[in-house]
Amino acid sequence: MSDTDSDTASSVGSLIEDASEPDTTTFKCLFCDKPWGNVPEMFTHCESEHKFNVKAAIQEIGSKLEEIGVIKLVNYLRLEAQKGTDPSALTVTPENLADDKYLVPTLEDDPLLFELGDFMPDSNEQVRDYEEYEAVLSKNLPEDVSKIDVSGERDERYFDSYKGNGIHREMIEDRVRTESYRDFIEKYAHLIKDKVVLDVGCGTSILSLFCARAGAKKVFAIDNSDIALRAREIVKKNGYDNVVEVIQGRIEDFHLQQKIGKGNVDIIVSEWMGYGLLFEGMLDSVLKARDIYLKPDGLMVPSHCTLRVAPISDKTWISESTGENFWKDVYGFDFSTMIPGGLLNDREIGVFDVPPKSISGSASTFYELDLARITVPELDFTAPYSTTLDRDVESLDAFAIWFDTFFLPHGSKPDLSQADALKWSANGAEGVAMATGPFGTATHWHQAVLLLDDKDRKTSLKQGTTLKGQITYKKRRRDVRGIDVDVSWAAEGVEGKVSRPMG
Amino acid sequence: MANNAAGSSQPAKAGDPLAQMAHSEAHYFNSYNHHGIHEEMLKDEVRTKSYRDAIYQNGHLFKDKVVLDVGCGTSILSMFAVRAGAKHVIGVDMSTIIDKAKEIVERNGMSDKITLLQGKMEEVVLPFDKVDIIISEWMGYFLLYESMMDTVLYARDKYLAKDGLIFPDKATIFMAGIEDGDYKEEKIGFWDNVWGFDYTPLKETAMTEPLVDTVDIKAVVTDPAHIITFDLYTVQVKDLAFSQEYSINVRRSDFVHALIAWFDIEFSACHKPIRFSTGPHTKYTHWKQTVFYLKDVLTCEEGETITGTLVNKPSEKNHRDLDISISYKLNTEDMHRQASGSGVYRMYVLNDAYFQVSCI
Repeated sequence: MSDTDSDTASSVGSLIEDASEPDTTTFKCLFCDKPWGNVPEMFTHCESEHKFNVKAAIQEIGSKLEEIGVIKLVNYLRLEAQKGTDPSALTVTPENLADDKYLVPTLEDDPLLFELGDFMPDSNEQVRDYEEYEAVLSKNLPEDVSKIDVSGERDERYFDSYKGNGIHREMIEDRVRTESYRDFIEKYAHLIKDKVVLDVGCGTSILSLFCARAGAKKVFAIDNSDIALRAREIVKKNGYDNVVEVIQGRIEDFHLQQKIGKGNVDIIVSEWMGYGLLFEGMLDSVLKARDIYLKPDGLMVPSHCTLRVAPISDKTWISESTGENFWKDVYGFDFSTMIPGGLLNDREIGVFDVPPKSISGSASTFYELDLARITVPELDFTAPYSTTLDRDVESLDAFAIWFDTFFLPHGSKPDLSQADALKWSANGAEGVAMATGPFGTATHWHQAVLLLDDKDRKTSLKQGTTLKGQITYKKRRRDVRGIDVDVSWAAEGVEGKVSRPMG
Repeated sequence: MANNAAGSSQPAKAGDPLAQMAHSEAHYFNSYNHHGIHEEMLKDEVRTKSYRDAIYQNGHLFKDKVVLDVGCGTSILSMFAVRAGAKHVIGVDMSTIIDKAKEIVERNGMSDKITLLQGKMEEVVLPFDKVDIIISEWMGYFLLYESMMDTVLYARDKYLAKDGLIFPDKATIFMAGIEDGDYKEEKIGFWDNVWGFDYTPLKETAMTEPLVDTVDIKAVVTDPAHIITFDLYTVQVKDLAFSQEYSINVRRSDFVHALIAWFDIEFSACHKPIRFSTGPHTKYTHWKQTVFYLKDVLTCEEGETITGTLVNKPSEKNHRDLDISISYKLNTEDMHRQASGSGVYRMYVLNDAYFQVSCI
């Protein structure tokens, strides 16, 4: 990368001025007083008359010190010339340019200093000023304008935007998520038909609309925020306002209880899952709604979740994600106190799409949630897990935690202890399963990653080693949304524990 | 980006794309104070190298001077200034990143040259009554969204010595028109059919939300048009609310679905003026461009012009939020293609409640 990145592009401005001034600049030879009309001629002169190859020196220094070094080089050469040093005897190294005194122009208003960028190595394709804006514009003009591809790269970035609709759209567009709900509701429409449904935290009401379209007799769509107003408009627009009733409020509000009726709901549908499944504490409200409104034999959609864990051993991915390489040399300064301080750090849980190759052992299901039965106190838990390494590893670096979600019809008593949502339908099992792990399609949940402390990332382990330990999920007392997660592990010769907050 | 900087009450936006980074998928719970945002800004080479060059190449201006770094973040600009010969640098930032900055400064052996203060510019007590130079990276999306310019102006009026310098000192907003049919259809048209349902009530909201995104130069149909230049030596906070007429020349016959805006930054005090652009014609910066979709699709012929007025007003509730309105008119002899209209846009920090709901 050359150092000409700055001071280059500008949108209009200066050009006009530049163009109006006749160019009378001359460049004084680096070693004698002879003036030249342009730089290449002067350089040629230096080589033939003074036996000094300026271009080569610029290439050499520029590749090591960037443009600032080349500026020093010029000042250094001029200073040496003033001292009377024989140019052909000069050898230029970064070391003899180290002194910052060479930043001071030897010649006042030396125009050569402004032209050095052109001689830098790898002078990259930069656009300069308006003419270049024009040039780039014309160069990129496709012959058939209709074939312009304006999407591409942008699609990926769009969903990261900070705006209101963007977030809703991201949620709706998270196809894995929305299609899992839709698939279940459509496939099991006979379970929904003529039933009373409660949509807890309905957002823009997409799940309510699926249920209405599947033939529900009545859908109560509840949300405590202003999005309820929008949901109401959307429902009406789609002609389901006779079926879907959008109510703004909290699940336990008296007016809701009056309207819906205790124990009066056949089905509760809700998309309540957060990062690491339980971050954000939305499940509490859903369970509260279940206890107030759901009939004894009512159906929860989804019906089950499992929490899963796997070890990560991948120094390269970790150092990329912690920014380790970056912080060691930031424009010539030592920023290593910021390590680990990328998106992955040792202070809190981060969420990532972990590359499958970084996972070094079997996925272990450590907790099952039967949503028809589980209670709020059971959302704080400690549970055992066991994972076996599938290769020799340099070290254990981190743990990835994710969840699988199952949409099963009434009365299912599945054994989920070994279940993998990705293989669920291939086995012909009933219902619908949704995976958010590292091996499936990426979702907006990603995976929750706990980076181990440095001291614990030093022991190499053999393929086939079984790590056993416990995982604790604990809600933070004063912050209902946040949770603390602990993972302990032990195998022959190693043991340790990592504790990280989420939120 | 001006996040995490002095005077900024709202920290980094959640999910701000860490574009071009391997882990661009990553999100964070506590988006403020974690290092990712600083990494992103430092990795924005156009930004950081322009500041570096402006400072290093002007050692004669910095030598033995007292410098104030407004919103110093990790203190990179402060250290540039020391290396360029400054006598002393004061870095001010609201965020706790200042603790990290102190460690970094110490590690680089500059603790005696840099004083780092955590707090609001309006409240901190500087060790000098006056400073010779103010350096600051205060720009936000669309230059002014979430920007810290007002803090810089406060520092200028209170601390800058007579004939003192400001790095950078000029900021210019430009606009152009783009062909963006597919993407507009995807972004705005999306709401017409969401899994078979009509979601048009959200379409209107979508139209009022400018999109911060990278625009391919191939999509640009017009010349850039100068909108407004802020001279940091003279601009007043009230000038950030402005109404400017514009005229954009159409360069090729094509549809125009949206107007885009970007800005250029100039360090004109430099021996050799240094500037950089955040436009679609040049290298990626984390500011990208800001896209304003138009209600109409303008069918333009080469040589015609699009004229109108851009009005920008800091929101009354939160002055770092912006209310923007843009009127437009395609000037053409062809009656069938004549079109004019206006759009109202809001660049607001997402409020928490809205975000939480959406996660349901």
